Amino acid sequence: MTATSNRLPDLSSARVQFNAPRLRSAPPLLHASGIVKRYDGRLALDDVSLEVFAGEVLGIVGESGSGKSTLLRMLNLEELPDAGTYRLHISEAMAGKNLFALERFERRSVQIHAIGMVYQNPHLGLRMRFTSSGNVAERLLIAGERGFAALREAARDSLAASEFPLDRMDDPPRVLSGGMQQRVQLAKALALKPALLLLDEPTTGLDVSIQAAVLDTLKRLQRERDMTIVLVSHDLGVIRTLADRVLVMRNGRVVERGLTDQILDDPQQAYTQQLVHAKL
Amino acid sequence: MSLLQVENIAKQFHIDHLDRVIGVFDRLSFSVDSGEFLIVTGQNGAGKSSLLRCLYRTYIATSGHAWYESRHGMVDLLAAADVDIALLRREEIGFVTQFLRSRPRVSTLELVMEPLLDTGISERGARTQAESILEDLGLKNDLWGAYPTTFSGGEQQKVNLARAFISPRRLLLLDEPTASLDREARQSLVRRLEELKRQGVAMIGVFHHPEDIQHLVDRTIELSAALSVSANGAFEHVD
Repeated sequence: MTATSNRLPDLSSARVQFNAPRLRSAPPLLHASGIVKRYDGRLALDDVSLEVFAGEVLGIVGESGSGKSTLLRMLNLEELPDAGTYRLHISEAMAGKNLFALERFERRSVQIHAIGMVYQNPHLGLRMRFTSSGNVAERLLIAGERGFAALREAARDSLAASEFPLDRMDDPPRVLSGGMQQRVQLAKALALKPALLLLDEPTTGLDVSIQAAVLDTLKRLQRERDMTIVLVSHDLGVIRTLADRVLVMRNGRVVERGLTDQILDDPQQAYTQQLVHAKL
Repeated sequence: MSLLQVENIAKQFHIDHLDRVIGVFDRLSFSVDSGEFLIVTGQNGAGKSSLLRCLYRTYIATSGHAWYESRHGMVDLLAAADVDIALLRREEIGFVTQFLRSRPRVSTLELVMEPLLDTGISERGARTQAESILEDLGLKNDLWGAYPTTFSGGEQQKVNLARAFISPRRLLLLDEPTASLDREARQSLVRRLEELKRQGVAMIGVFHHPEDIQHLVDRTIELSAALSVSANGAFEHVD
């Protein structure tokens, strides 16, 4: 047997190429192609492409610096990349449009109505000193909802769906536990019933039992609403529980992609094998 | 035309950190029709589970084809897009293992209902069917609301089987489904397999106690453990 070499494995191409999808009658809901993003000359995203079909959960795994959170910010239209296209098939009118090329106002409108985002750090997604229901209602307000009663009712529904304890609706997030803060974020993200939900490490940092409860809520909601989700997590247990398919990212590139059980049980690329086998 | 036609399927593992290729099986061909029951035999490590997992696409086969006559048309399971396989898994192809993948805070009943809920069946309908199949498999109803993480191996397996069988399938892959079941539960499972066979479900299974299902078997696929891979990647038989 030859000695194990110290060389960095070749990550440039997948060993296996599968056929194009044929059995699904509808085109993918999300189609992103050739995304490139640089920060001060450093390549944070290097030619990233992905497709997500309606009702699917796509997981993105990778270590710090892999670009996964940067990618999510692009998909949330928070920032623009240096190159690439991004299409959401939310209507026939939107089908062919590159969202990155839209005017700022149109982009913002898509972000409000079609996309919901939950951040790892609740401070990024919430106003900590508004009430929890106020946080959710704000989203509805921006969409044009008026009338205190209607706003409160809609906020209550969204919070209830996220399994947030309604007797704490008027508490500001800053006095809530981490798990409850995430539920407020989720309620806010879902308030306008978006076509796409983006989750950036939604349970990371929460107590283990709370993680289980939040994961449960996510799974139930996904099924009940047939939601399309892109989920970033470094936690393979979370990925296995929620994701149908997985992208593995490293240094801004997609190193491997596949069905969740295949990525975890038969990883093809050297890096993926290392990542999967590092799980304690 | 068979429901599933497998041609020259082969599987190797490339273990990068060892710089090694491990051969599992080489150039297997067989077919399965609706209502046919095939078993895979061979020593431990011969690749029986691996064969099933290649067909289900948990493993990626190194080469070969698996032509499957799906409701949407002919598909090569080994080469189809991930999303197409995901669709077939939801609608037509099932995999039954000997291990229950339970989740914290999810009750037995919820776990068993899930495959039906995923296909859009109402919660009420799913609950009724779930209760029925759990009763059939002999799981006490005071366990239905409990979390299976604390159950015995046999009880977990009953939950596992209920979850696997609740949604109708055209092709079932069974990986030691009778492991950890007591005699009565094994007999109940065999009766269910008999019924599925009558209904026209095609089945490929690995069974630790093949005598349980011998009367169902139409054909046997025999795997030899004596395979290694030479430096140039070719399989060699070692005796």
